[in-house]
Amino acid sequence: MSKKIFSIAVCALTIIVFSSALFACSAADGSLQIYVPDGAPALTVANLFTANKLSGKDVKITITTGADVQAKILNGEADVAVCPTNMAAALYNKGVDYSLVSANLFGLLYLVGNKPVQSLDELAGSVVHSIGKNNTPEFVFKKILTAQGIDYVDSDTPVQGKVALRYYGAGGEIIPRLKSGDISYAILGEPAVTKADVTELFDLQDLWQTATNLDGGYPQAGVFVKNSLLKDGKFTDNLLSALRDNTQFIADNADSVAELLVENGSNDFNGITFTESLINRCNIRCVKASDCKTQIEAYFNAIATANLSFKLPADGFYGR
Amino acid sequence: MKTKRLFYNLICPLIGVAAIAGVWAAASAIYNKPLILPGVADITVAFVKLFGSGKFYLDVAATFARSIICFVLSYLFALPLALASAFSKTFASVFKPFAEVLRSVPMIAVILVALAVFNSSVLPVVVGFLMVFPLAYSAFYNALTNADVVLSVETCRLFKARRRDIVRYAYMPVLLPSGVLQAQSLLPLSVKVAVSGEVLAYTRRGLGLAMQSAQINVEIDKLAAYALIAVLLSYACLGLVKLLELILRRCRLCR
Repeated sequence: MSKKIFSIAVCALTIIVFSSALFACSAADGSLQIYVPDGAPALTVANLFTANKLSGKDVKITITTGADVQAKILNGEADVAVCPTNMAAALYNKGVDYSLVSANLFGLLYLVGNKPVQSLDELAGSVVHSIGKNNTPEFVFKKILTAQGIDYVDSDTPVQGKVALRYYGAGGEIIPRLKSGDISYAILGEPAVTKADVTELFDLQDLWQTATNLDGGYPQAGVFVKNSLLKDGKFTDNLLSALRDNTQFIADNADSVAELLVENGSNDFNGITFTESLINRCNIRCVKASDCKTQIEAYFNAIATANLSFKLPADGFYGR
Repeated sequence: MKTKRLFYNLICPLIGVAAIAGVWAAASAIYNKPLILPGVADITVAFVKLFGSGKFYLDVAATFARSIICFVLSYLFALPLALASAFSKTFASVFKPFAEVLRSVPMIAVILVALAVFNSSVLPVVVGFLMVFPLAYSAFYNALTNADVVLSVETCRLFKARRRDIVRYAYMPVLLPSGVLQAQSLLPLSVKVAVSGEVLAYTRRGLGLAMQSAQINVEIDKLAAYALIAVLLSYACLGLVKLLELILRRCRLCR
């Protein structure tokens, strides 16, 4: 009998111990917790790494993975998050108490390759190797192909009459194959394109403009902020002002901005030196979300066509 | 006797499953963040909805096929290599570094080459093979170099038995039970690694990409439902192992 009681007590204790691990430990020091994914999105808040305070609050920026940024929004640890706008919309639709304050990254994808082509329909019968399955590269390129009446299919091998699309987790899996001539065409983002030193064939931002009749690229990443902070109009103004200043900051500090990000935890910018041209190719600028709603919705409509689970968010998504 | 078998084979596992569901429900209620830890009801609804999609069945079939192929390939290579190692100490010593490398090499080190050589459908099988083969080889080799087996083999050699008779009468009686026993852990491992490989390779048809899509779309209840499907798939594989064991027993190949 005592053995049974002992067994039950041990089981109960185990459950209690493991359950208690589920209580989140959040930062209670009053600082502004900003989470950004590594890569070009980190460039959109580069000047904040040198700012000690924003609207009277200490600023703490963490460069991490996209999945971690998503998790920090879901559990409420992030006060401010830079994230893909489609991820922000999906989270908003799930009921998180955040809004999109601004769009900050307007496209940095390029079709590169070893064999020159004059138009996209020459890619039919070839395989285009791309990053970003279920993300911006897939949605944007498929929209462009559809607008030009070019058939495509997800395939590892060439398909006659269609553009075959094969996806990878990172540019690092594509670049060695491209440079060794193993593959002919790829879609990569800056600064990987410049770092890889491969031949650019098409600027997807220009092709997007033709496909949608909209200037200024596609707002692929933006700043997602807790609604409780946005109630303070002064905070929102200060944040937007800081984000707008970032464009000049990275232009003025092009040669040292990569080092700044590496010092603060970035892995993607190791060995990269930015130039004015490279920064321009990243299309970084701050536009208030409500001011570029048309562009965002055009981008979201392209996503909804390729991803049936995606729904456009309501107007409340667009912040102030 | 029948009642006892029913109790241990059905009632107790059902109690276990109910306990898991209970702990999950309690944890979900305590944590109170359904977007991160969805409740049992949400997961159940998402689970049932999965069966309404034709794509789901194709994804499950594809992952199941890859898991089985990975497992079978691992055994097909592990068994003769283990036999060769058991027969020849020289071979065992030469092969030992290969086995160690395969056991320890991190996947990220080989992924670049693997992506270049294999297509996205085959890559999960390759990734699974690299995980399962070293374990299968070790299991077979340890079974073959067991003290009782060594004694049997020495006795066979003393009486100048033919090599194939040594394999049939000394090695097979330990290999088959060992193989069946190891399959109970290696088959579920094959399922797990196949799904991970599908995520790594962005395999179009399979549970891996479906789970990744659910994660990107913040459909955490759907993600949990897919995870449950993967667990059930492992159980289905275990059922196959039990069936195989039954057949082998009937053929008196297994004690």
